Amino acid sequence: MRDYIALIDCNNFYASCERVFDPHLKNKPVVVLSNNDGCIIARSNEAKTLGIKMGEPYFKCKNLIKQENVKVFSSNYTLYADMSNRVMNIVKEHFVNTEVYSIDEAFISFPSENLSEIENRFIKLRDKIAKWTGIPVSIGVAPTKTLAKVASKIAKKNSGVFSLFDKTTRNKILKELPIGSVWGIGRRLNKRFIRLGISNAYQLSTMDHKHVKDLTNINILRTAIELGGIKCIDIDSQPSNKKQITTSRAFGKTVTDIKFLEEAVSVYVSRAAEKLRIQNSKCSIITVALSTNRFDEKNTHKFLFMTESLESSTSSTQELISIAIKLLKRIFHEGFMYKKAHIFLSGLEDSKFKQYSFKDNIKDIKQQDKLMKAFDKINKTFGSDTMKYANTGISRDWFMKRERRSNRYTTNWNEILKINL
Amino acid sequence: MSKTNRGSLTVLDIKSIANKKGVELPFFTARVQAGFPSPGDDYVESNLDLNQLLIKNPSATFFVKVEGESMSDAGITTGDTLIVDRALEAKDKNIVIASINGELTVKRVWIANGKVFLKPENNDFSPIEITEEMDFDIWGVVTYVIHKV
Repeated sequence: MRDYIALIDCNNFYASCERVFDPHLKNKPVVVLSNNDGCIIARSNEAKTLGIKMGEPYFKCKNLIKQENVKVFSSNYTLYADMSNRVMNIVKEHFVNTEVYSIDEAFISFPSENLSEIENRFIKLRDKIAKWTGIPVSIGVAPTKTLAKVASKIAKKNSGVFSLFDKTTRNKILKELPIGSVWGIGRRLNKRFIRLGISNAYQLSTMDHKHVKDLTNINILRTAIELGGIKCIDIDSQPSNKKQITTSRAFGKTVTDIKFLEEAVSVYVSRAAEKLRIQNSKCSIITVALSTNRFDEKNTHKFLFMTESLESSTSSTQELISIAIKLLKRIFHEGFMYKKAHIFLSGLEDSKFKQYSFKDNIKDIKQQDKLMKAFDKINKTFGSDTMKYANTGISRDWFMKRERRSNRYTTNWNEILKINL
Repeated sequence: MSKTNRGSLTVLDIKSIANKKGVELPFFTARVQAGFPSPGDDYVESNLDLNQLLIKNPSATFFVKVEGESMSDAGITTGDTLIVDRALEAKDKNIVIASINGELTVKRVWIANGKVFLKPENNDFSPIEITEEMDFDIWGVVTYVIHKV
């Protein structure tokens, strides 16, 4: 019995989520914008056909969007995360060995004796996900992760399930696959390979291993071997904790006043600290950064930052806020037009194995941990920000622009789907 | 939703049911102390969980708020919240959420003489026959109505 890999990939995920709750959007062009309604980050097939590009700034294609009556949504990550959980839970019910690779992709590893039954099994899974959640998925099946990724792209253009086992078919497909479209080959490597005359995936798969390694690194060698049908990259079903936590977002408008920045930094620190506690970590390094608008042609782009190492690692929101505000005051420079704030927490360690120092007041730390636990529980039960630190502001008028956000249909009672009888 | 509903914690949070693993342990109230322990302690069972009663397929379950009187004879009226299970196959006589030409509606499926109708539950409204030309989809099957008395 051999193990095979499948990649479940949600089609145009964010746009598909919006469609589930509004059938009017069926067969219509739909796009979703990034935070602050900046760029296009998801397109329905119809929007792709119109020539709207991924990552294109919204203002650049505004005319086309108006002309073609494209439906535009601000990103609604609360909804997308919940719909993603639903899809992933269905996959996990069928396959124990599942790696949730991103919000809209999951790898699974499964044993099979009989190649012919595989496709049927995945057609059933695809249909079940579509019926249960309304989300269309494509599934690529192959002997390796890298090939499953290739197969899923083909699946997307065909009926939705494609398996890639046959060697002749595989070689034919790889010959037509540009090297830059291979999983793990970034823009820079793509350029380098093309300069060397390696333009398609097949060439990489047949290169001498030592040569590949000398040219690039061990990861790309793995990719090359995987393209040849031999498994090198395992399924990672136990997601490891993040080594750094970042909260970085642009404001809804440019900000010059330090009062607003203090609020924004406090909110971002609160989010970052929550993420920290979800994975049971404490951090010992905090960095606060401010940046001005990159697209401003009159003024040069500024990036100001400062880092502090803590004597004792922490995950307490209030401790982190007070340090962050202190750093903010030091880097703040009057007269700049700030567009974005960033918080980086690093030097993470597992809360259970926290190293106490002699100066630590263990009783205070334990009390702070308990307080945060209660704080998180309240916010989990009654909705995020039910309880918050006053520094994070009440009005938050610097907050993100999300003018066209749809309802949070699955997580907020006031926003569930409404139907007229 | 009314205040009381918001107060009933995890019961109403779809996400948390979907993620819940294992069994919730009952909460023991009596402290260990010198003297008699509560005679009830040995009989503690798990709490009653509305999710367990009302939701079979968390990944496929959605809530919908309705407005209008076309289903009043089926006990569905303005302000009610419906529990909708997309995992179920819609059968004859089921109450479903359907989309007709992009519009979502709640009606009873009625199959008669080889024809499919969406039937309102109120004599002031007439049934809709589903025809080939219509863009028709079943969105989900209604399993429960949450109605404030």
